[in-house]
Amino acid sequence: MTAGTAVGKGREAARSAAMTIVLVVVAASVIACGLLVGARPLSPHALLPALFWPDGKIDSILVWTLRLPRSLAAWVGGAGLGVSGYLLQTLTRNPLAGPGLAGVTYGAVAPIVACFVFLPWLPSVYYPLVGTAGGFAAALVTFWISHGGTGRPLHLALGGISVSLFLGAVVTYVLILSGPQTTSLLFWLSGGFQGRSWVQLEYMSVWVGVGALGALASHRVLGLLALSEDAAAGMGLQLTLWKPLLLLFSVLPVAGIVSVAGPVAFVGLAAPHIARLIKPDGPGWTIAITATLGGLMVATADIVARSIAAPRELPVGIITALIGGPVFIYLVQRSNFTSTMGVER
Amino acid sequence: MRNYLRLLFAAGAVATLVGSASALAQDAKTLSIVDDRGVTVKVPAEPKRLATISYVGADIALALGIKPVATTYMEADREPAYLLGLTKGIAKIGQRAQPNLELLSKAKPDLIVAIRRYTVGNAAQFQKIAPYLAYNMELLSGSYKEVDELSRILGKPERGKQLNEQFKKDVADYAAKAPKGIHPRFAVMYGGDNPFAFHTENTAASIVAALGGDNIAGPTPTGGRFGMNISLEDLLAKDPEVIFIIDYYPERSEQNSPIWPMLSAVKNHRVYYVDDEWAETNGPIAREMVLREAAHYLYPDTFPKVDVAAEAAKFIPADLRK
Amino acid sequence: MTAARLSGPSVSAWTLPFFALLAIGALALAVFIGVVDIPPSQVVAALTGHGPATARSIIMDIRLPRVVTGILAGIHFAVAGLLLQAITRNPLADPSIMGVSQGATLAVAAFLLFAVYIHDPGSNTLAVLPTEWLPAVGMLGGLIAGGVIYALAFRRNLGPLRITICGIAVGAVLHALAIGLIAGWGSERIEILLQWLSGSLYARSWEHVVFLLPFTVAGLAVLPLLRRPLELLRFDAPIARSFGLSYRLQFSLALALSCCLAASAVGVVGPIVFVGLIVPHLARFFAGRRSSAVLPLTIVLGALVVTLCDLVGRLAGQAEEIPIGVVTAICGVPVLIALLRKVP
Repeated sequence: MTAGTAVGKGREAARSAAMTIVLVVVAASVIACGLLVGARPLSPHALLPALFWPDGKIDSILVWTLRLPRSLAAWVGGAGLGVSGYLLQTLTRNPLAGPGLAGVTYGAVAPIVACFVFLPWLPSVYYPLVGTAGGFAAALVTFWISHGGTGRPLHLALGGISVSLFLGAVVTYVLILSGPQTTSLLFWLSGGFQGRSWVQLEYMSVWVGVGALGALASHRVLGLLALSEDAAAGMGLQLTLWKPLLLLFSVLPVAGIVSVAGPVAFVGLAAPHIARLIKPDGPGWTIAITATLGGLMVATADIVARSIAAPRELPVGIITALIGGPVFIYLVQRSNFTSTMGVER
Repeated sequence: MRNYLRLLFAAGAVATLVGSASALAQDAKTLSIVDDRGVTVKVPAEPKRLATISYVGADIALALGIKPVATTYMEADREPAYLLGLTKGIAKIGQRAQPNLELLSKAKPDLIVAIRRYTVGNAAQFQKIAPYLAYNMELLSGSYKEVDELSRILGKPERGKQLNEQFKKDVADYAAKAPKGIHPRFAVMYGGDNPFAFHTENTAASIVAALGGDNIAGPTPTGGRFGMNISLEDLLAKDPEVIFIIDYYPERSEQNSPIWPMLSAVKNHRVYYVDDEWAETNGPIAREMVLREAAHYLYPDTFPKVDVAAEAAKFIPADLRK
Repeated sequence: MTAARLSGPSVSAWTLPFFALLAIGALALAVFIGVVDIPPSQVVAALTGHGPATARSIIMDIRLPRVVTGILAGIHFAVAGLLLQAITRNPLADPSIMGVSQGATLAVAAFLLFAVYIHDPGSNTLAVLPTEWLPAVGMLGGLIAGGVIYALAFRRNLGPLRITICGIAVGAVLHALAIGLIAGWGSERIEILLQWLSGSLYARSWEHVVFLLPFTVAGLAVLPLLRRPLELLRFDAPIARSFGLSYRLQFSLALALSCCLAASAVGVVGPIVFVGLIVPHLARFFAGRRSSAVLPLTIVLGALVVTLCDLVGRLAGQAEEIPIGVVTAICGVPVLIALLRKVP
């Protein structure tokens, strides 16, 4: 514990802050470059006027209505997923936790799909609410199945996968029942930001924002929980209040994202781990770095998804699987992974 | 020498007879047909009980005055208007992508006419129930062939020829009457968040193109399929003036897309939600309906609105309609 | 087997015969009942080769091959699940969670979407679909996925925990890729792919039975050889080795057998989730203290569960049958939850 001195601590915090800023800047430049690509490429020469002096012609519409809000939505979505993943991993002290593997994602997806097909009169503004309820319930079931943090850690992953499989089967069945709507739904089920504009960005940001701010506000609690539940309780922390609350903070962003863009795989799982590699200073900075990193990942994935096979659009999920998947596999490969099976900081 | 010549002559006559037999080789009871898979299938010479997987077969049969014994549907409880709701009285065997085999067998068909791309994987199972013919049912060229061949198999070849001639004439008539020099850009597509637009060779799109329209999805690229997923950027850039959306998504989510209000078609109220006949256009009735509807929607001042039921009735023999 | 040794019913020697009888009864039920009502006398006649043509067509060509395929697949999944749970010492292990099914799904999706181009690139329309190859393609995909997982786990110390984690990781990645592939390129074939994705016995025929049977026979024949190693694999590697078990070899063999059984079944019917997960637990529950009965019970129960779930799917959906994978998932979860709560 060398960082005992105030100077040392300040330095570490400054480093984390710098990292966060760097990540934001990189993301911004990636998004800016992303404005150039797409089914109809723009030259940088054409981009600047379209960006700063929009004139209602097609180039400006492309930039301001299609590409910019979409990239921003992808960034916000990625940030939310990262935060959610971090919260779940700390809560369960399980490095394999993530919204996908804890059943949260499909818990949110299944009721939304069911509403889409069976209750078409329900305005989509209510979808995040429905998704939150579903995600929360699914997470609770997963925890109940795997005895939360007291059972073997692997149980959580397997329990979450089982819950996801079950809900996945339900979703598949609903898809089959939906008949000709299937194509549209299936695309969404792979995660996609196509056609997402300012409206969706706004209401997604609300949900992600609440989750992220809640997480940041609870950074001390998170720090205690990361040690152990007993230590936290010993410090006077009311676990029966905080654990459900933190779970709620982790479910909110997922519900918001899923109702807009569908499930996006692996970001919630991989981003916190990569963030930890940078060794941030404390849970607060970890959250910040995780969020910005997740945002960068998904923004990049979205740009790749819409340009690599132009004019065809790929679902974002396939790109995040290709990026995040190997990260995940590399993580499980590390020799100390199974021995610790705990969350380091 | 004379006997030898006679023999030669007889042999020659026989050879000529055999050689002049068409692809439709006949013996007393069965015909040999080569379907779109390239497989030769022996079908009964006069099939009485037709089962169709896809509305196209039912369309052709009804136009010939024959009622199939079984058919699939696109949506349960929805009887297409262009078939005058006659499908109500026909046994239903499920969706065209997964027709229920037991129900199909129960209907005791002696011939199955199916849409190839969904059923070809299970061809062996269908063949066990009844002779199974698979047709592409995608392109206009295929439509002429399918009508011709099926009408021959069902014993009404002249009617099939008549339907094809009538359609070619109708297309020419309508094209002639259409205003010259205007080539409205159009798209025929399935809606939803990820629109799927047909290329020009697809039957519905080719009918609209024959009327002078300009398909924004363009012709099929080599090695490509009959349609493509079109991104919103592309849709915006190509900006069709008329959009035909095959109406399967009740909530019409394409209208929530941010660029939707910016499309000229939307601004000029020239987005038309169309029915099953645009999805299964290869049948004789469907293509005539699409022709009339497309003409009206492309040039509303030149062509009157279409009463599908009234027009379709002209193609279905009266004794079926009661 | 460290997993659930629940307080089951008092064990009797009649348990196995009872369930065997039940399985036969389910088989009979599945043949006699279906979407189309056929009088039992006609069913019997059809089975012996007489009877009206429609009955013969429905029973011999449609229902019976489908039920038999289901039975074989059920046995495959159940035994594969049993093996996997034994060697990973984890009651939640199942081939569909651990990569084999997802590998098969990805292979099948890629094949269905892209084989068209290899076969007939110049054609305007979707060319012939060589679906006879589908079971083999699926099986190959599953085996490759299994191989990758094994290779990943092998590099460090091969052990139950490592295999499980690698399986989950690879499985999740492959699943995302498969869904992405289907969503991105599969628009014209969506219905067929979805059908396969949920595990389905639709249109399964005697050809499929013939494909599966050799694997079933071979797999079941090899099983008795593994009985003692399976019991020893319960222990940690050093202890097992002290009993004279060549740990790595036996572990790999059991894993390979599980993988082959699962992959061949997935190739034919698609991923039917939960059968491999739940049936071993049910078998242990009913076997109670007679651990020698667990394996035969697994086989019998696997057949029973699949047959009943398929029957439910056929009857509940009527013209549009519910795929068996959906039925097993929906029915399986309450059972799963009840079982898992008892696991320490």
